[in-house]
Amino acid sequence: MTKFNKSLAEHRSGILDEDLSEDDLVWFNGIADEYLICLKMDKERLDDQDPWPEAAVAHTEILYAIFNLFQAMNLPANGSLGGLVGEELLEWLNTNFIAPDSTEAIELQKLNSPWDEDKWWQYLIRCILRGLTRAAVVFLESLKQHPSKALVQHAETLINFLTTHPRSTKFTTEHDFFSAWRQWKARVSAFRKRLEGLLENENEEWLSWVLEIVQIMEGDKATIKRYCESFDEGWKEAICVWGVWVDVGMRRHHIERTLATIFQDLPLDSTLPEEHVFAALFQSQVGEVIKRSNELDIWLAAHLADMMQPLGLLMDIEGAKISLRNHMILNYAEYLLVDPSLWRISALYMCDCGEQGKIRADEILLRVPLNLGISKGKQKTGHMEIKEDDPVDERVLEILEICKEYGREKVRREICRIAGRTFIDQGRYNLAISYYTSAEDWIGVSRVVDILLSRSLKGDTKEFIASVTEIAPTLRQPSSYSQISIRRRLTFLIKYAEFQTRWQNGDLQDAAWDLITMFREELVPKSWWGVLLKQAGDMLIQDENIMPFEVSEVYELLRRLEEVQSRASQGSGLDYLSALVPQVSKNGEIEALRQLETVRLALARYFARCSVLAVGGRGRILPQTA
Amino acid sequence: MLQTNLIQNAHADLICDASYNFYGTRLATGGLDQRIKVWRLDEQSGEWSVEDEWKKRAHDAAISRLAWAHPQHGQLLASASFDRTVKIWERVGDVGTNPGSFSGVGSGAGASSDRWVERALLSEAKGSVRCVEWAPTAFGMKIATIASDNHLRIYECLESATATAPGGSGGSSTGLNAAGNPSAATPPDSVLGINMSTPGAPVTTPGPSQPWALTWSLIEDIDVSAMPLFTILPTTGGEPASPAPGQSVPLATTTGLGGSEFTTVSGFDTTASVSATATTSGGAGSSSPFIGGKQVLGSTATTLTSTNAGSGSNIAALGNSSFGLSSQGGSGIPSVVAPTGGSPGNTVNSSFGVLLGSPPTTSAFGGLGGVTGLGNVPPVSGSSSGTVHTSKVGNSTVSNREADGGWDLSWCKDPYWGEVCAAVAGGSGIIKIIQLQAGQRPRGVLFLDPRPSSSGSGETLNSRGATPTSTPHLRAQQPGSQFLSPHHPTSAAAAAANHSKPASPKPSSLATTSISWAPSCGRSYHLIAAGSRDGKVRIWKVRPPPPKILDGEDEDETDADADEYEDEQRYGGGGGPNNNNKTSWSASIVADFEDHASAVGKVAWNITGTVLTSAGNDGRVRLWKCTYGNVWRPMGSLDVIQSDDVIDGDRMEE
Repeated sequence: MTKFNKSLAEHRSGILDEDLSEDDLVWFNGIADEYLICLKMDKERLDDQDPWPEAAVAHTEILYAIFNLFQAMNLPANGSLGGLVGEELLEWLNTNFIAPDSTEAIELQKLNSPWDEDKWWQYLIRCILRGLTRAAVVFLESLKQHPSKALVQHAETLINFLTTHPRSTKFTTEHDFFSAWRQWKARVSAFRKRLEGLLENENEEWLSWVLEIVQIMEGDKATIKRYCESFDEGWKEAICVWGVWVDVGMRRHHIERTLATIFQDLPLDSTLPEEHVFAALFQSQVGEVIKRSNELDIWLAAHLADMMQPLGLLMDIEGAKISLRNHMILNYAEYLLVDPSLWRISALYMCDCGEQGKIRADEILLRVPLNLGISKGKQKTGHMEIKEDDPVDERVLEILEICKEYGREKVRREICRIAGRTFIDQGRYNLAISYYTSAEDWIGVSRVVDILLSRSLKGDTKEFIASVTEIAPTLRQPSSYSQISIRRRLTFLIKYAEFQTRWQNGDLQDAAWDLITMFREELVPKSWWGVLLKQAGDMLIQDENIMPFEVSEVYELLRRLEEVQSRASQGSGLDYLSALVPQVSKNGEIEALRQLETVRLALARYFARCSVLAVGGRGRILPQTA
Repeated sequence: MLQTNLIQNAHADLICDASYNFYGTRLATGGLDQRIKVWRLDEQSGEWSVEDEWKKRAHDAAISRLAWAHPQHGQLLASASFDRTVKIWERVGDVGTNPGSFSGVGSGAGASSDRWVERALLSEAKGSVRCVEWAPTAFGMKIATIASDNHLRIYECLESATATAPGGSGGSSTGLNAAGNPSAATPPDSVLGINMSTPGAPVTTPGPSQPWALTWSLIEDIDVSAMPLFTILPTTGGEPASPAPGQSVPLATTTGLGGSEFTTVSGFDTTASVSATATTSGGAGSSSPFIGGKQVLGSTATTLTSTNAGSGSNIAALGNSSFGLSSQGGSGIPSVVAPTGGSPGNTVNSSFGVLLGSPPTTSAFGGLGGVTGLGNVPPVSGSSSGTVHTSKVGNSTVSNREADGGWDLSWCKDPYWGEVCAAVAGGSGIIKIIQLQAGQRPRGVLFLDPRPSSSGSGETLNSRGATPTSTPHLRAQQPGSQFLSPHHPTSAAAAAANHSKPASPKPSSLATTSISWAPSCGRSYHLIAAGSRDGKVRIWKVRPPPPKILDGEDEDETDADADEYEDEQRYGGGGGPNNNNKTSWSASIVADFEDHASAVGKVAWNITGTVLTSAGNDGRVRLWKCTYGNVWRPMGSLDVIQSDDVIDGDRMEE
């Protein structure tokens, strides 16, 4: 039912500040219809269940009746709140409390002389009371078989009365209706007086029944109340037929007063919470409606409040920080979380409750388990089954989508940060970078970069290259990062991975070019100088036939090496060697410096070769051909 | 409410605390057996099963509190213990990390399961650590701890995110030692190792696969009992500008009391039960489970409480205290708790609560003989056996025994107001709201005093030289300072009182055993719930200074709140019609329930701060909710032993 809420919110946002027009009321009437359809479907679903959930079905029926009454009282289909209400109430009664039972009618009509049965007359009277003209006429037609000619005649008269009974729905103006009704009532009164005269002389049993019928038609309050008392619906039946038979001019604001007189004879059953809701709705006591609905059903209270708010019916408590409508909706939304799988609906409801609701929705969205990397249906104790190359859990995408839709940017970022951290733990670094980037958590991004770089040092170069390659192409464009430090870090990571790839592929010259470029563009973090210099040394001695560096590049490397060594002599060696130190076996910095000495030697030798061969730059020394 | 799960025999001994992780999908439990277990919820079946189990003892004494870090810090768990330490554990070994590679750290720590690695040992506390709580993530990686030495300690973890630290495999121990923390490298079973560590020394450990190092350092060390109330405005009249020292109940003597006494209690059913609210709008998340038992003691984020069942045990024997192991001369003197009268009902108030500082304790210690029974307690290092001090506070006698005290803390969850923490320490029950500011001394911005104003004037007023009778509800006499008593005739409190049962028997202590700061969720005020040993659950409505004070905004924007402020000030501001009082924190009490009628062990909020859960020695977990009319009402309760429940209905008052 949430889907309506959104359109409802959109619609009312445009009309809240002004008085509601008839069109608006018709529009809201349509919304109420939608809720009623949902309730009906819910009931049908329950009806299909086996065993039949009697209590649940009854509860749904009550909800339907209440919502329907709210609609009848506040959202007239024609949009006119000031109009005559009798027919609408009668329709509500006939829709929600179906009576009399049609199977009983069939049984009664099978009888040879049904008019001998009190039940038959009672059935007829209830049909008339409820405005079921067609059924009543069928019953009266059967009186034509009656031996008494007088009764046959009376039946004719009654049928005539019923078929000519003016119903407000059939008239276009109230004036026409009232004048028609006055004429009709005068005829009924005249007939009643004749009957009363007959009753003095004759002692036929049917005569008193006919008189009762005529009294009801004439709107005799005592008779109508007496009959309503014998029916299950009691006071509800009375108030709903009142506007058709007794007070045809009854309007919505008359109901409260009328009901007070009815209650004197037909009290409500105070043990049933729904009775209170019905009564409050009839009397337009909005606060009482919400309060009693809340006792009956939290969904009902929330959605009634939601409908009442834009209609201007709700009065918030003075000084309340939150509107009654929002309070009820939030209550319902929290209640929904009893079933954690309903978090989406709960969050949507909350998001519709102003800023405070959105902040609550934040908490809900934040705490939806992301279950990243856990394959469905395989959650076993102590074992997280990780699917390799599994697309990111759909749930996290869904949550992020909702966050975006409602502009919950803070939460979206927090969820991204959590996801990023989880992906680090799971070794899915490409996703970690994506999520940290989405969260604009640069510390997080650099954290992943650090991890990846440190992994490259652990020897699993191929894995390192694969991890870097997996990073989304857009994220590999350093220009997509506004932060310079991150941009440099990421550029170094990418370049270093390219360098490693080329080196792995045996493309020494291009690898050397990469290495030099990284130094020249000052991308190499100081702590990594030692590592890269060491690797340059390794390249120099890898293949004597290949001259990977130009002379100027050798100068560059020597210059860097010199800086490392001189700084180390001043005690700042770790600044340059901290990445290299863990790689060497023992003695830490001393060993690292010793290894760099061999690099210096290799560089010197390479330099010498360059001079002797006059190569002047990179190239392959071809075996001299004779 | 339905009980959704019952974890039978969760631990070998009583459980002291149970804590949900951020999502409510995992549950960490710890108890007297000094071990921690992590339980995992199968979201499909709703079953809880053990996921990780510490093979060795996590601590050298009972575990008092467990707390999960926000998941953006990774899977971190902090454990506080009666061995005076706090440990930070990290779960490793998921894909991408190789558990084997950290065995050096793990085995060095010695108290871990395969997957949980000890990352830090914080051993500055001079008494049993009663609470540990992670700060809101906005403040970085911080934890606050409070110990029975009345000190609130804030630790911060700094990540040195460089490539210098080695990777996970190989050589990780170098990084660890390079940081120079002796305690981290000390074999854990050595008590000396714990005591040797230099207070305040940063504790550094490398991350598992992370190339950054985590360094924990003590950044604040606050004696809560001696903390003065900060005053913003200059004082009027001849009053001193700063509060006299010792305005709080002088509990300093408890320092060094250490953990006293105890351990195993025989005859208890070590069972944890988990239940979820299924009807009323209980907690958030699937499981707003409660762990049940007769004594309800622990609890965490999503309205969770933990407890231990005690059914029908009349005699609780105090074996030699595990705590004694860490104390000099702790030769393990057995002490025995006398029968508590034979009624099973009475046994509820048994010794376990002593450990947790929750139940009435006279029966727990040395039998029913009262405080003299404490002679059985093994002396703790540095303190004589005569550690029991009693002082008169108003009409009630407050014992200064550790067993009578209450220690707890709770962070303000909303980072907007800066780093603010509520703490309670000792037997006075006064909740102190402390504001922490970088580069400045922490300051107490508001004190909430649960003592009846008629009886509790005690030292506080006298030490300040104030007139006790003029403003009976008000403890602070200086403008801008707030020192509140709950016994204001507010309409809400009066309404709440209608739902309260007649007063319980005279409590032995007024100590506040548990406090919980509600997530504010966009409200302009804060709610702090407090459970106390006198059986009351109170909810304080705390109002921070208006934003204009903090932000320098126009006054117009806050005019709407002005009336409410004045309303608050009638109770909170004190010092007459001084509108300038709007510049400070104020509070009023909005609910005061006595339904538990026995000591309250724990209070906890749901994630939106709309439902309060409290657990008491009456063996019930009670839920409280606010109506639209701002009246707090009982929403329902459940019996943690019988698993039956009583729904009072989700009432709504217009």
